[in-house]
Amino acid sequence: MMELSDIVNKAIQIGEKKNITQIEAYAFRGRMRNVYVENSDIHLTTNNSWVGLGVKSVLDKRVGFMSGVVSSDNDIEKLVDGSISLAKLSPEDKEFVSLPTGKKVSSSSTIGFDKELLNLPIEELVSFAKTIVNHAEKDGIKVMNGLVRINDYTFHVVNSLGVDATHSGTFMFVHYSTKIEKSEGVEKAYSARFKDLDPVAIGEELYRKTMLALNAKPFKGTKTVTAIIKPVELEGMINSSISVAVNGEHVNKKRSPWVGKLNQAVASDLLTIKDNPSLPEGPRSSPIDDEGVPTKEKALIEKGILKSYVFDSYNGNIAKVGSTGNGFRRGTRSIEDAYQSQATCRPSNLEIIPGNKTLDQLISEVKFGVIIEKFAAPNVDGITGNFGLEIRSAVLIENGELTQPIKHALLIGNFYKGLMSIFGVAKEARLAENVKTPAIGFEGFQLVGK
Amino acid sequence: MENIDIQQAVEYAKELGVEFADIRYEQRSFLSIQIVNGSIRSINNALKNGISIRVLKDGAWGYTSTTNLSREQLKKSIEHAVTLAKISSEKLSTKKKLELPVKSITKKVSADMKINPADISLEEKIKYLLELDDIQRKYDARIINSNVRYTESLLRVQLVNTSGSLLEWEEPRISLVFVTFAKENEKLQYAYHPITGSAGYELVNQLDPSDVGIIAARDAVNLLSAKKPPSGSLTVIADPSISGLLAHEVMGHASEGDEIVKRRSFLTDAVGKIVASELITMVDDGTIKGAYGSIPFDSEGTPSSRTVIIEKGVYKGYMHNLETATIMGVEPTGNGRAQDFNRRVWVRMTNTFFESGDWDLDEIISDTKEGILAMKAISGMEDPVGGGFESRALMGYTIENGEKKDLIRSFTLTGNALEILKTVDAVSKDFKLDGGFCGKGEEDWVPVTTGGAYLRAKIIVGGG
Repeated sequence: MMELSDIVNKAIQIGEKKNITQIEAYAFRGRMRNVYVENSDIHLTTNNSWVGLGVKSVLDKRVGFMSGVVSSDNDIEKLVDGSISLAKLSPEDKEFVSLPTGKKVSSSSTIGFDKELLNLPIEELVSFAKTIVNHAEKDGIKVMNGLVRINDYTFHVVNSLGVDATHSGTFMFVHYSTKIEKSEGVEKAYSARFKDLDPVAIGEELYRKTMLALNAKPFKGTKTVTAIIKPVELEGMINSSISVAVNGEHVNKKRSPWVGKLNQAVASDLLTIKDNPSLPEGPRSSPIDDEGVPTKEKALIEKGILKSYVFDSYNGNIAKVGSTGNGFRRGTRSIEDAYQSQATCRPSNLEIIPGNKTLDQLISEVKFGVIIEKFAAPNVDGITGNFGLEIRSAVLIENGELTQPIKHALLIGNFYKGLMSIFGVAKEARLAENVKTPAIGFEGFQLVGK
Repeated sequence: MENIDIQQAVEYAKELGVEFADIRYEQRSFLSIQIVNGSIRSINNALKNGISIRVLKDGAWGYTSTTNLSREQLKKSIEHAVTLAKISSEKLSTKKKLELPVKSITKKVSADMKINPADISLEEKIKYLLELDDIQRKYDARIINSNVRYTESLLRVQLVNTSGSLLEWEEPRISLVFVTFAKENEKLQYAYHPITGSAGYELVNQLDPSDVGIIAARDAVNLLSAKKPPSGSLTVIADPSISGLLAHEVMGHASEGDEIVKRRSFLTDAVGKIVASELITMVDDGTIKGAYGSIPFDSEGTPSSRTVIIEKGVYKGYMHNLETATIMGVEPTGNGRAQDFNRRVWVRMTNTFFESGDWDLDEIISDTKEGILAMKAISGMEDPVGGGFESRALMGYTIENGEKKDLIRSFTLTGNALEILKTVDAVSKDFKLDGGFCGKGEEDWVPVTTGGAYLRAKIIVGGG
């Protein structure tokens, strides 16, 4: 088995002999273990492993990138030569300044890595998957699909300007769906640590959500409501809006709705969001980003005020602020193609600071509203902030009490405007993908029945 | 292909006592060029080779994949796949023996390309893309950001199985996508225009740059002054991108055999029933020449085919892979697809669409007293359980007394798919397929097309 350090060092050596200006090599060894459940039973168990290399070569301001899997020295040479050929053929990128320079990063960090997850026997993973089924399947509920996935990986990034950094990480992803009559329940769970995920609790939550969907009735009419959105659905809305608005490339290209709004209010003062690469359970937790730049915790929004964007080195140089340690290639659910692309501006993990009130207290303060359990797909138009989302499962709130479960309705609004009208941020936070958030209540969205 | 003896490997799997095994060796090359604001943002070239090993033993599947192409690793991966199948099997509540209907086929299919993109120099491609970007960027002073993304890929597959099949095939794909942003005061809008196909470079160089380069730019600029859409239950003329989402996301996903065998789909037991207006015929067809979702064989080596799902309003049948076809006692339809060697094979669509009808689009518009024309889908979500339809349109027009009136900005279309399809009273001759990628369970992306004809139906509109 080739060591990643040998792969990247060889790549750099080959490149430096060919009179290029700068070179970066990013080697990635990944393993993905999946247990798939179909129709209540274990259906398929997989073990996928790969080693890949991405090479970026720079000739003055001409940049070439080539990637591929690596199983021999010849593959490394082919990829380096290919990236140099692309650089030679490319016109100058006038905006390119430099690859990042080397900075010392603590090598003893185990942020984002869990030995227990790495070494978990596949038999235990299969039992974990089956335990969820056993605790969800009550009162006629059937598990239709299930996935329990463990990703583990190591990457090593080296460049000709002194960057030489490596990181190993793990994370687990669980996604199940159930059916009873014509209703569906869906539950997802995420963590970089095995100890955070309890199959019994996941199964019981799946049961609760399925029963809620079963008892839901179509909503009729149109009302302006207070909408409390639960974490798993809120993640999708946040990643399709705030993650777009703070993305340094979108800012540089003037595509972000938050261009020029640093130190201005973009949200209610109840909202504070941190980019937190040290979140113990976060899938993108690591002391370095995928360019080898040290990561750091920073406020993106502090009490409603926009404090920072996120930059990779390319865009940070254009903006003359440098990289913020946010050049990522790794996904937050799977990591298969990390070596295949250049780093781009992305948050590490987003952490929304919890409020002082419990979810129950927030609910008790709502005169008329809705608490969202499940949208069809929680996507916001990141450019305009507009959304119109189909509610698959929610519960009405009337005079501070949860009343009727509902479905077949749309929640309509503008998410950026909604951020300015936050009614409350709950105390209890949970992780969904790379976003750790409590439920948040928004004023002024429209609930439209069918 | 490199000299990897996967035939010998599958014989080894047989020796380990599997009921079935297949081994797929994939070599994938990929080039993307991204132009932003007149400059090259990135040129990526990727090579991704790997082997997947799938075994069926004691009623359960074990699956491994590796990028280490050594003989020793291949042997280990086969043994590990067998171990995984055994572990899964031990947890099965009911053990079923699957007699997969695998026919032994030996065939080689080469890519159907007039111009191999590999024969066109990178300089020529870049020059052409910069010209296209220049046209869109200079369309109007309000354009603040222009993007052109070109991708070409070639997938080479070699597949063997324990039934004696030996297949080799190629799948070429090419795409060109324009995305333009326009701004005026505080208003920011964007639009897109995709061109996709399973073809060679001829798909790209036959275009007229001055035509194709301005489409997204024009839409983005026009959207700056677009009005808020009306809402309620409206007469909607859905363009092929929207009608295609209805075909794909709701009717298509619910017609995938795995959703039927576990009775998850709202279309379980629907064969022979009237599910739509008699004007509706819907198919999944992986054999359409040049379409982005076309495949010679699926990832299990079954030849692709045309599956009629709805014929003149009557529900006809489902799409299958080997396993679901076995369970339901029918022939596989060539819909067992995997994203790549790292991913599972399950029932997936290819090119899924509503067949064209008798109306010209202009006739449908002039025949509509009051309604909207919905254009350019930007999102949609599957709902095989409930049969709910949700799609977001980027833009559209109001229609009053048979004429297109005001441009309207993005809005959501929703409703029950079967109720919508029963209200269809006009289907266009105009026919278009849009290529893209389809996920199932929010991942496992495979290339597909959706689309077909314009449909006129009653649909709920909201969310401007």
